[in-house]
Amino acid sequence: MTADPFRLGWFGNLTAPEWKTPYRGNDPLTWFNGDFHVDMVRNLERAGFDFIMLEDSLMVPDIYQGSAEIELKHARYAPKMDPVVAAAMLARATKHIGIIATASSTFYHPYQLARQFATINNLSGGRVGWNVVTSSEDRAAQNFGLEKLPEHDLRYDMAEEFMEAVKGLWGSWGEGAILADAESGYYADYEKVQPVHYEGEYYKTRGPLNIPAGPNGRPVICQAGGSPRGRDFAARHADVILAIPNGAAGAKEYRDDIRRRAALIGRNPDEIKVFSVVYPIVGETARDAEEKNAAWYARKQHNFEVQMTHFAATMEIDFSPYDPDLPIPDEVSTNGHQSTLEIWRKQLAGKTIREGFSGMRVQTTEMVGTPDGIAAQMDEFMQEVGGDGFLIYGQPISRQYVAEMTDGVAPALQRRGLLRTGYAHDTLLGNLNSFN
Amino acid sequence: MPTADPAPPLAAETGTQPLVLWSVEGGDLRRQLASIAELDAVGVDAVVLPGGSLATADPILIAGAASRRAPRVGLIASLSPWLQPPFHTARVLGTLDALTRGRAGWLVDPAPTKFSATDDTDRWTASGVSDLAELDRAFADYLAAAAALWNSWQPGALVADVGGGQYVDPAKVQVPHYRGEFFSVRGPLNMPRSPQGRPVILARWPIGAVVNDTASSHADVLIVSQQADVSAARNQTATVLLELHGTAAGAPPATTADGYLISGVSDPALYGHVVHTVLPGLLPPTGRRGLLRERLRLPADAFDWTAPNPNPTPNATSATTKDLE
Repeated sequence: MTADPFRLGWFGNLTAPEWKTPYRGNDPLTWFNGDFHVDMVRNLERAGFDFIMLEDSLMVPDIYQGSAEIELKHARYAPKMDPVVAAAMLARATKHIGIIATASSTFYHPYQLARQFATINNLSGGRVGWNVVTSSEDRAAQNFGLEKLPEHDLRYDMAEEFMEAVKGLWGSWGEGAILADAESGYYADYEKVQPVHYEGEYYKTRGPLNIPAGPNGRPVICQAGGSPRGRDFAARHADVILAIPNGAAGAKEYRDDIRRRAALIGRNPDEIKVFSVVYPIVGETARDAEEKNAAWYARKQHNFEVQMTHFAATMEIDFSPYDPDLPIPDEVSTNGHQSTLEIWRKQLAGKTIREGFSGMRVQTTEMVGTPDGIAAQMDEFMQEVGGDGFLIYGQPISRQYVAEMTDGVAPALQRRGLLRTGYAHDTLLGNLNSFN
Repeated sequence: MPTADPAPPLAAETGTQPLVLWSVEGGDLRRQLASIAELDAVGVDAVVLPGGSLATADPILIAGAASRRAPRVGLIASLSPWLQPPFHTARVLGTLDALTRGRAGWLVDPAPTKFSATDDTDRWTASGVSDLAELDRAFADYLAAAAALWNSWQPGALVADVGGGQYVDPAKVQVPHYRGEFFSVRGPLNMPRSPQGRPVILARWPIGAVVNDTASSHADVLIVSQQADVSAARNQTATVLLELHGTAAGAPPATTADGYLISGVSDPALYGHVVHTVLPGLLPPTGRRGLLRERLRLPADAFDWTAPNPNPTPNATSATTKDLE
């Protein structure tokens, strides 16, 4: 028995590629020119990935030890270039694959965001998506003239309004509004271009947008809601959901819950594709893979420092005042990714800060093996969960790791009939809905 | 009122070939992209991408999309400062400059905005502000905030030192803590200095201008619409372009400006004539290459890193903008 076919996406960003590997080439200093990411996305397209998602953040974190030193040492959150500009470039360098860019509803105005994504949706022939985030860092707020972020639930209230306003703007050019009729001399039909007059509690936008929304009338919507509030938001709006649940059982619970929430508000659950984040460790032999995996965990101090920067960036929690040889104190809380903090607390299960974080990897479940072994593990996972795809993490990215996925794991999945071998549709939304 | 310098010799007399920039017509996106690639092949120095009118897309994204199939031409986005905060502008232009290996420009238009972009915070916005003096002060503040961000990473901040395990030297990344009358931004920017240090800034010189507004006094390149304004504009900046609109582009007049900005060429027959007959007579046969600021003959020191705090490290400014080249 095998699972039904499923999908692959990649969790990417415009940060430095893996800069310590012997296969780093010139990329550590030249990736800013875009070549590394263009090559990568073309490889993903060749391998049959549905999309690359480009995450984003808007600050140089300097929370851990009150300094940017450890962050900039490892370069996980900064430097990071703008994913929307890069998405425009990547879309023109490819023909089929989807490009999903992250933009924060907290720091854009709905009009500006609607216009940016309408632009790239047109430029790409309908192959882009917007990964909706509400931002989780006061440091980012301070780059936009604010002292603090609104608290977590208020951010979701604002995001709901933001979404309504953006969707209104995308709908402000009716179907067939562009005539380009040389005979009558009319480029657009003014009766089909209508103001939106959106007035919410937090946002006001008159509209209409100054450009049609492009193919499908909107870009694809992607989201990563984990908290109950975030899950409702995702179930209402998202075409693609990114999740890091705990194991196959957690993934099944999460997916079933999203589908239930979608059905409750009258959405067809099959319109939503849930991608579980995984970080496969691939070797030429099973033993080789096990050794690589052991070596990964053996970099204890490195892993510990990297996790400290993750916490500092996404939760704005500085663990440096706490004794690393004790568990996380109960008083630690966050205005950032609340659900993630709770998951991590659970995963650490009483381990000390140092021991727990040095052994932590961003993944739904551990996958270690040959390309065919990984394909078998993905098959087994999907038989239990029921869908819809995996999001490959593997940060920081190297050309070697990309090749292990695109020329090892993906073909092994294709041989098993589990991964697409081509793109039936022109648009990302079309390809996301080409099978359930 | 600035006093006019003696008229410099005509471009033709010095043997220097004129700069040619081209303002791309708005409308169909795929036609815009095709036109940019064609102008790149002909050797135009830079294209100006429109922003602001009905049915214009975001010019930064057109530039990003065009960058691969137009690998030489400068890409100048027309951006109003009033549509997004300084951090976004500094970052998207920095990103464009990096992705194009130093070909990014910004045509600033601080005119009162037709867009309304407000929120429920008490941050200042330009929406509804029609007092030109206030807008001018706000624009000076906006530029200072952007400059603080572009200066927040010192040259040489990227080390990628494998042995030492260090990607960035944190001592070379400073928090500007910019607080102005209108805008505040903590910083630093979350990317290093781009190949040019910052994008080239262009502005239009108001016809017959006597006042010295922020845009005119801060721009690297000024665009005049009549020959009579060239000398006044040249008192403000190193490089001045004469705009030739529509049929005027069919027969460029002699000018004391450094070159031309061709605009308003939408008629296909005129477009073909200018691109295939007029431009080859103006441009060097192989086209110019390199950083946009070099092609526009701008002084390098205008793009140097300057310390964002009042106590700069001695000798720090002697370094160059090597990071992303």
